[in-house]
Amino acid sequence: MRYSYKILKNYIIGRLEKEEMLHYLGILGLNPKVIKEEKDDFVFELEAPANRPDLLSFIGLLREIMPFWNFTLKDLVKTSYKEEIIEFVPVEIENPNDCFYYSCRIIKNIKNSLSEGEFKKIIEDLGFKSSFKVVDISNFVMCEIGQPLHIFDLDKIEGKIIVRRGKKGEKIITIDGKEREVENVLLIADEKKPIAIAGIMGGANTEVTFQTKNILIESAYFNPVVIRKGSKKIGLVTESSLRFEKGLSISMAKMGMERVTEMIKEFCDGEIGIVNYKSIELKEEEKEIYLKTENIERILGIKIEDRFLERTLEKLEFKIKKEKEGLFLLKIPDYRKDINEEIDVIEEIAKYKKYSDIPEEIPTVNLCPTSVFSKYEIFKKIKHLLTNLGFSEVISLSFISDKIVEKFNLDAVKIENPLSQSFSFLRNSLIFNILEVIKYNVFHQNEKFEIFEIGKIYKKEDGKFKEENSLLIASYNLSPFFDFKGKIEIFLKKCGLENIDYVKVSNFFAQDGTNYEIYYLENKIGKIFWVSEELKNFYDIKKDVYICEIFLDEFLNHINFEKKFKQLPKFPSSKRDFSFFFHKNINWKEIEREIKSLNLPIEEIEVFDIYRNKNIPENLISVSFSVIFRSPLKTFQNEEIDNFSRKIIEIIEKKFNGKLRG
Amino acid sequence: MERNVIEEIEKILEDAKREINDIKSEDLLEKWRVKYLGRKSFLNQMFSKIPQFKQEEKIFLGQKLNEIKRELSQIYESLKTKIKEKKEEYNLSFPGKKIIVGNLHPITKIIDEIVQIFYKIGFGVVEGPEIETDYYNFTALNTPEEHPARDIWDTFYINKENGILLRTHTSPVQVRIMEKYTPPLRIIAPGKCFRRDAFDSSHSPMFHQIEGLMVDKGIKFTHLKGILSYFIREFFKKEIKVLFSPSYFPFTEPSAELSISCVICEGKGCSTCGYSGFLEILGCGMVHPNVFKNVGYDTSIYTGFAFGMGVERLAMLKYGIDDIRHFYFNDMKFLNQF
Repeated sequence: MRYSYKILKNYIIGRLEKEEMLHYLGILGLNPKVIKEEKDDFVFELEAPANRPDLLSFIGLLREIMPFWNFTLKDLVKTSYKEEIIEFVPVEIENPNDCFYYSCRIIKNIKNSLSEGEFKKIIEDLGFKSSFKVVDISNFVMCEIGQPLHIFDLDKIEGKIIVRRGKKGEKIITIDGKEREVENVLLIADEKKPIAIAGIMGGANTEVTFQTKNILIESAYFNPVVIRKGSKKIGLVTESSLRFEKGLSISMAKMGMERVTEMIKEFCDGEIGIVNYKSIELKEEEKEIYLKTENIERILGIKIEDRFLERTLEKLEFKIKKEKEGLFLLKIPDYRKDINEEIDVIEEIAKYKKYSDIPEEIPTVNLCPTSVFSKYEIFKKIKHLLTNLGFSEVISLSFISDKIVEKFNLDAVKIENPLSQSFSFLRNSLIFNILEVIKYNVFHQNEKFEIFEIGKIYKKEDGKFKEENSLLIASYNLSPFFDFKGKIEIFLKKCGLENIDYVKVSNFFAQDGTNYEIYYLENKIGKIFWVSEELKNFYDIKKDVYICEIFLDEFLNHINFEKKFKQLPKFPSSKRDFSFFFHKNINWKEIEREIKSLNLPIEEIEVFDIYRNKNIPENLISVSFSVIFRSPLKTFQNEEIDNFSRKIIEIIEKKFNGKLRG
Repeated sequence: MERNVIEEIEKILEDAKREINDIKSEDLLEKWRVKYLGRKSFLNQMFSKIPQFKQEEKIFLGQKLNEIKRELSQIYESLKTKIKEKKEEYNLSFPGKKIIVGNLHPITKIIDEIVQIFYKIGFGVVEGPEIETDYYNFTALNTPEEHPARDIWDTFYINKENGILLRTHTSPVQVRIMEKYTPPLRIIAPGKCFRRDAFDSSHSPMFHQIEGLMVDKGIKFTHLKGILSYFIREFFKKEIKVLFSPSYFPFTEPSAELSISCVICEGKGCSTCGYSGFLEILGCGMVHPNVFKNVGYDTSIYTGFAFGMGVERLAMLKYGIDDIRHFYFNDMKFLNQF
């Protein structure tokens, strides 16, 4: 809402300086923004907290800063007019829970014209489009006291006023010229048609025009929840709905009616009718709250003197009575919907004591030891291991597009109200986001890189939504596949997982024959594969992408960062190299297992060369590996090593049909 | 002893010294070594002939031969080092090879910096789910249905009818932790949050928050100020002006907003701080009694404070990043800077 300094001054007896006022508004956390500055005036704007509709008025704002000043507020309503006619429009409220109070008043034979001069300027400064005087006055009164009002052209109303919900398929054209569907939305109607969306916007059919002579003023108190729901449903937020949905009061509605009548009489003349109203038996009781001064100290950590407390709360128009030492009984003005319990009052006291004047303190407390082995710390270790191996961490938005879901028929969790088509589902794998990142980087001339992401993936199982932790590691154009795989294996080893098994399976997202599941002690902990052509094409990626996906939640069960020292060797090792032709589909893991089953004193087996070329028959592959032998007890003689080697060659030839190369 | 034996030895020494003067390469030096110090060299042959001599001659000859061998060896070693040094005289002005190293994402780095600061004062890290229920995200946090404050958080729904949503803040973790544990509590909870905001230079539908909560007997607003001021000074690593001002959150009261003097213009006023000289950094406050009641804590015994901060905002201020989308595009040229 906008406020004008010049106008604010009209409501007070005393002084109000510009700089000081801005300073105090800042202290209260209202952060005023100056919009317009003129010689004797300036207009500023501020956003009131969601629980303070009372601040959305000149009077409310002045009341808020009163405890800092010595000014007092002038009486606003003087009731300087007389009711001259007894004609009225009957009112019917369909459901008293929708509308707690509805009042209206006829004014006949007004001098109807557009606003002009100073008044027009004020209305525009306050951010409204200036219109007919009566309409501008109703907006001005809303700014003054916070009560929204509406002016109908009386002659366009047929029969009585009915406050009711919109019927099925019912529509209304509002004064902004838009047709709106208002099924089940609270309406103001006459006997024939809806004439306004209650508390939100008037209808075009009863709008004030140049021809208007007789008007009907509405001042009401609608159920805030009903207005809020209606405003959300039709997607329309107005100055009026903003105030109604936060909760006003019957007394404000009454005051609004008085004030607007007075101003219309002054500026537009006319014959004033009586107020006709319907109201539920809503007793607006004065709220009573007990305040213990010890509780102020318990929460704020500072002592507050009774004098300060009494003065501040009285300035805020609270009625305060000291029951006994340290106990006060407070009566809260009805426009302070936000003050309902003791803690609310304590916050008021803190505000006026000024937050900046409350000292800082480091508490003395008991230790509460926590374990350092949190998931957070383990993930951190994993991230460090991967960055040490050259992978860079990426973080992507958890959404995937409807296109990818459709194209690959994914079973992904849908967002009911997505931001856009491209963010309409939650990812069920990190691969899509990683490929998006690769696409983005290739497009931005980053030609080779290795990345990983740790994040949640989302699933729906048995009607329940689930989230899992996932790790995806990807290599693009940087190193040969076996370098990538080597890094993965070191990573697994550093996490305490050795003797990994690979099982070849098919995978929708992998190139044919390039997908292996990764097992540790018969537990599936992930997979490693080359991204399929189809998926690459979808992301417009040309070169091969190697992926290793780790099922983090399962992986965490096996992770072990604890290390045990192994005695360093006392005797030298002996190494032998072997080169074989194998069938190209041989599973190396099986060969390794067979060699190990010979129970030779083998320390390590390492593959150092794999190749196929045109000089080798098509179904064969050449594999060179070295075997390191070592005994903890002695140095092997050449003959012993020859003997071991023979056994290795024998078993490979026998079991795998391997052919030793010359 | 025959005189000519000694002469011969000395002549060899002279020859060797003369020859070595001209040697410039490792190959020739090696040949020289084989010739004068090798297994078949004159010197070596002489050693094997020692037994043929008389006793005192043996001693003399032995000494002489050792002397010469030592001298030649010294000459050889020093020349060898010299030749090697010459050979390795590179031009070192060329740049080193570009090595590819991995980097942590700046969000991860900032989160960890914050976590480390809170570790020092005894806070532990906890986490909570991203798919939340209406109850934990709103109701338990004193924001019942149809509370106007719900509009502060524009929510993504997975199933609105059953109240399943993406959490709009990390505050639900407070409730989950308090339901599970009794005070004293000192926790921080980093994590992803989601709001239905446009994806532009200053908004993102997904972002990171760090929630903090301290509950114990005798925790006061003065402590909230003390702890958070300590955090800000540690995080920005300089004396920085911290300003607390009133704010509104349904789940804290009194609520506050913490601002710092603008790190870009140092309080003079610039576009980053909207010419106010101050930047809003985080929201905080004393835990609302209704939140305690919802988790079954006795409000007459316990008090506490909570706070929540946006990680992207802190990272942007600390590193001077002008567009929030950089964090999620993951351009290697961006990631490599941290």
